[in-house]
Amino acid sequence: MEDIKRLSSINRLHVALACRIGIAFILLVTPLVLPAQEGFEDRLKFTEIQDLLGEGIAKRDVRKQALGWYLWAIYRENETANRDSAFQYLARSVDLFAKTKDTVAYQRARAELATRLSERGKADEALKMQQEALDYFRKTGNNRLEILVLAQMARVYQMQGDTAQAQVMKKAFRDKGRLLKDTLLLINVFMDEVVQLQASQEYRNAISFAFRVLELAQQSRRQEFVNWAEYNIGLLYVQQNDKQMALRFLRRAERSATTAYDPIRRDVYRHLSSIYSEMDSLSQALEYARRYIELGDTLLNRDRLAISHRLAIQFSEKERSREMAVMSKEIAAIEAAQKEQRNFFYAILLFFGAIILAMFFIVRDYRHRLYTNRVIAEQNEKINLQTIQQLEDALRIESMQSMLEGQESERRRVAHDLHDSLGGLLAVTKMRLDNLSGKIPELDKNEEFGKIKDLLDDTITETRQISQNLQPGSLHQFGLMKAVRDLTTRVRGEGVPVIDFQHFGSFTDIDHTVALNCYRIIQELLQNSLKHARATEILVQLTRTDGELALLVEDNGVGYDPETVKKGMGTGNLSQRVQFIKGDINIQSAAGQGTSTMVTVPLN
Amino acid sequence: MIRIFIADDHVMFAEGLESMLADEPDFEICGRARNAADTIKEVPRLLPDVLLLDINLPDQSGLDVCKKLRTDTPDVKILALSMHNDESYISAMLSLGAQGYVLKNTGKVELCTAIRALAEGKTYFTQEVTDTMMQSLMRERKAGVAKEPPKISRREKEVLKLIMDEQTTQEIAKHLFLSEKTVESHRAALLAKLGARNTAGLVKAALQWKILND
Repeated sequence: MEDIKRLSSINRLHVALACRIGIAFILLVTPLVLPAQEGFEDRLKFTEIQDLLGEGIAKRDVRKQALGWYLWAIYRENETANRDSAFQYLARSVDLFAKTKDTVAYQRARAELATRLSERGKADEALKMQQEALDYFRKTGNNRLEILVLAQMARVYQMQGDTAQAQVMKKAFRDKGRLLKDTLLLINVFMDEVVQLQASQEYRNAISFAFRVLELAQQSRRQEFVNWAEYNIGLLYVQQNDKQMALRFLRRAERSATTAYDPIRRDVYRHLSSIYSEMDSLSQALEYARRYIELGDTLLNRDRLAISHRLAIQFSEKERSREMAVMSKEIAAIEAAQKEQRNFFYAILLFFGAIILAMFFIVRDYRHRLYTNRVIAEQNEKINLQTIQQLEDALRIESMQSMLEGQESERRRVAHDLHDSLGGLLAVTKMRLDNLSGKIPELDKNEEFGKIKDLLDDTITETRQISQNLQPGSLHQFGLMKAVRDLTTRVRGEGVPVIDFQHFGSFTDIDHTVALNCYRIIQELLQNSLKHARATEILVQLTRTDGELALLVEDNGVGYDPETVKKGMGTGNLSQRVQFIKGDINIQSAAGQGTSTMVTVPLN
Repeated sequence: MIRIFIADDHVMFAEGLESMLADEPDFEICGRARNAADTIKEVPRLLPDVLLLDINLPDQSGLDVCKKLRTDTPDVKILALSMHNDESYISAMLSLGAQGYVLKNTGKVELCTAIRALAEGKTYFTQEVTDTMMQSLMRERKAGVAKEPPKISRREKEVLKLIMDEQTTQEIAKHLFLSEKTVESHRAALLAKLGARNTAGLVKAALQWKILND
């Protein structure tokens, strides 16, 4: 109803200029043709908009807020004609709609905003925005909103003074409107046609369109349009100079006028008065002239009233602004309360987080302590085991030492006996046998005697060998190097490997026990190579550096897997000796690649 | 007549020797001793032509006796009579002034030949002793003087390779799982074998002998 009021008020202001009526219609048609889009069509009251906005802010519902601001802008504009603030509210609405991703609403509000923008002298920009909206609605087939935008664009062009372009828009708007079977829209379209035709002085056509408006208005029982149609038909007949018809329709318009104080009614009176005067029906003319003046005064008064009413509205607007401010404060308070709640929640969360973290650390610390204790226990155990191992080692070395010493002294004794007693006896035997054969020449021819002599030679050699092996006399006498050289020299004969002996450094100051053990080690290694390796070459090497003695026996024989042979009796004895002199043994061997055994002995 | 002095602690052997040598018309056993002290005392007094000296005497070594008599009575020829057929003993005796070296199991004929050779101012060694000496000379290679490539052990080759790869002793030790001392031993041996004075010399010699080629 407000729209109709507005329509009538603007009609009243521009009633004389038909084309301007058209613009006014387009302006006012806009709300009428608004299609069903949720929320936009609602003509909410002040408090309802307030509630909507308040709810939107409280629930952080961006769409509600956007819609609220949109409606608020329209409401304010209608109430106060303050297009400036409407522009700002619409701008806010557009921003919020942009966030909702509701493109339809966004484009609609934007087109609306654009119209306001054009009023601020930015028509190009406005048209660009509206064209965008138009393209979007066209693309999505939203006819109703397309019409809305077309109407707005026509309005902008018109304001720009670009009538041609405005006509194009209006035509598109009309064409589109016909497509829609919407009575109200059709009425508006036909009304627009009437205005257009009137402006171009095609009165006959204008009358036919006006009749169609009348018909549709009667069908839909829209009294205000019926009145408009009758008045315009009357007016058009005035133009046609058909006084009878004009009179008839103007009288009908007089009756159908919705209110007593209607600007149309006043114009009707004016036109009736002039028609009657032309028809020389002066009393009638006078009567209508009187009614025209009375109503004119009344309307003037009403205009005054309206102005004062608007002033009152503007005053109450301030009140409302104040209320809005209070509301905003309340909203701020609600938000603050929410924030407080949130903070409390965060605090609780933080508290529990801290507790959980603390528990985590406690558990971890506990576990760490358990772990540390376990590690310490393990280490203690390990240390104990090591101590035991060391004690065992010491004991073993001690027993090994006495064992080796006993072995050596026993060997020395046996060697001595073999060498001196047995060797001497054998030598004497040999000598006496020689003597005998010298005295009795036939004996040499005796085969058996010769065999006995050979056997005796072998026995002597063997005894010497055994004795030498048991007690390396030269070791004591000449030191390790010469003893080892003797050892390697002793190996000779058919099919025996070539033995290279090399020595580097001085060996004279080496402790006798160390030297003896080194000698035994080399002896054993050499023995192993000779016995098992089937080598053709053996390298025996002694190297003496400042702090170390290195013994090396290397052969090019068949080799063996050190892991499997390690436990063998020979190497077992060997490793005992190495351990005894605190040396290190390192065996490199693989099947077919010979054996290289190196013993390093630290020297003090 | 060749005058012979026998120094041997083995009574039976000494007696056997004496009775055997007594059969020879040109031999005369002028004296006998059973230890080193008596030998050193008696020999300068009796001044025999040939001293049959056992190396294993109970109080001192035959070597010491030999050394002493060499200066006291240089005219007395010393024939070492030993059970030892070791190069060390042989060369020791020779260097201390013995003119002959025979093993105790040598036959009568050879022993007599030896005594006579010495008496005539010659030297005499049993075949076995000669063999030992030759063997020893052959097997011991003097560092740096050999005309053929020195014998390098496999371990030394590994070390040499790494030295030529410019690795430090520490790195080599880590690489071969050896102690640094042992690596130093190898290095010392390599220096001696290749007659080098430093790493550069080692590398040069290694290339010269083509040691790492195989």
